[in-house]
Amino acid sequence: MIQKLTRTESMEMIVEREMVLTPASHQKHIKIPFVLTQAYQRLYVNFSFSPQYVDREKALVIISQVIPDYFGAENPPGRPEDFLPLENLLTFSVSHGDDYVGSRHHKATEQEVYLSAEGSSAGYLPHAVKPGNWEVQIHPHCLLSDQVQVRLMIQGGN
Amino acid sequence: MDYYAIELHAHTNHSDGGFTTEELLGSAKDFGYDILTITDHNTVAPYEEWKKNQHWSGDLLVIPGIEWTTYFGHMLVIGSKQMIDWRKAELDTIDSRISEIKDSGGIVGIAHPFSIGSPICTGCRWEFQVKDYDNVDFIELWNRVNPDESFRSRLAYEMWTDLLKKGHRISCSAGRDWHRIESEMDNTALTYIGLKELTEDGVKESLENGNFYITLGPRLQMKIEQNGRIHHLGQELRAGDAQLHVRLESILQEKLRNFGFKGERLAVIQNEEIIAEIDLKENQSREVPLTLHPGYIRLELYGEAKGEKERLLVIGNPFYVV
Repeated sequence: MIQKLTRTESMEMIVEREMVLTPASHQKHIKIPFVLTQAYQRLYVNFSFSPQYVDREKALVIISQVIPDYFGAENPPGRPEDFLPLENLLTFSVSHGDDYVGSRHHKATEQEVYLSAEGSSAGYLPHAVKPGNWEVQIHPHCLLSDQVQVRLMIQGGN
Repeated sequence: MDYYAIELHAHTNHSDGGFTTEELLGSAKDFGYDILTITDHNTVAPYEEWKKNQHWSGDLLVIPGIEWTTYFGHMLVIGSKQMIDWRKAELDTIDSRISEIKDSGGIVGIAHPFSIGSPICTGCRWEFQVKDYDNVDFIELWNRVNPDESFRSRLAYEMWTDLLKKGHRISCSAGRDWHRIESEMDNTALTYIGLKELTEDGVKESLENGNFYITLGPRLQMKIEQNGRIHHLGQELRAGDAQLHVRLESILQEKLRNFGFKGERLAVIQNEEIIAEIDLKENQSREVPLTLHPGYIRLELYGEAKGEKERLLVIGNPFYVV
């Protein structure tokens, strides 16, 4: 679940999206453009996905299929179980017009980041939250569970 | 021309590293690097953080970088003036993105090309269909810990030497792929880069030209003299007579002295054929007469490692012969 923001500043909802993704989205960027009609002190992006792990039986089938490509007769891979768990890995990035602001590529299933001219969360450059065309892209580096629930919330704060 | 220890592949908690930016810089200084390229996954934010806190780095030269962490490969991009958007990288058009990076003054290296790939390590295996490898500056032959023991290093070596044999000018690098402090039991490889001056532009120029070598620890000075002129790694020579000057020096990094790396034999390789083998011990200098043919000439040092003989310790990038 996304944690509720407990900030004293006034918050304005800009994007609120819930998606159910399937392996059809595996390794395909999902673009979520949005327009800011006003400036904010900060832009907040809350992102979460579930489940973290691909079901064990399905994961073992997938792992068994791919590991011969990554090993070889001289260097056998061992048992498929040794590569468990297989993790869904979804990250996201933010851009403003042509400016790439950043991403925090890591395995957390919940991320809350903020952007501002004075400073931004880890992975993101300081960047003024000005009116204009913005975009969040979701990057499903691995999305192999039959269904993955994704929640995205973008808010402006003053 | 002096050679400096450079790390070309390091991460912070701006992506999935365990270090803060300050901790990474402190660890790099403590280990004995002269130059550090911060290459977080899909962000340059730690470099911007460092710019506001330059006292963190002391004498360490810090260079901006990013590891393009795509679905089809991980690519190190160093010193690009503009931020070229990694999200536009596609399997069969990567050459266009590489050209954009080069036009922006960036250096391009292929990280861990034979790593386990998707979906176990997403995008870690190099699958991009590169059409012109001349635009790629280096291939990371040695990655992470104990690269001397990994068959993936051998596969990367074969990829690199195949490209050299085809006439491409491409270098090899070592990348610690540093995410956190490793076990005392695990060794990591080093890259030494030749510089006239310790500046970012100097580093980029030498990375582009191939004036660097990789090692498990021992330092190897390599120069070729021809017609009274000294040539360094990556430089161009003429076919004909020349004189190789080499000198083997001790390991500087305290941790790496614990693995028993001891140089014994230098192999001189011309167009992938060994043309000379000489004994070379620590603190010893040797000169070797050469007859150069068009193509390239490069050096490898073999010796003792972890109690075993005849192990590859140092790989020098080629001198090119026209």
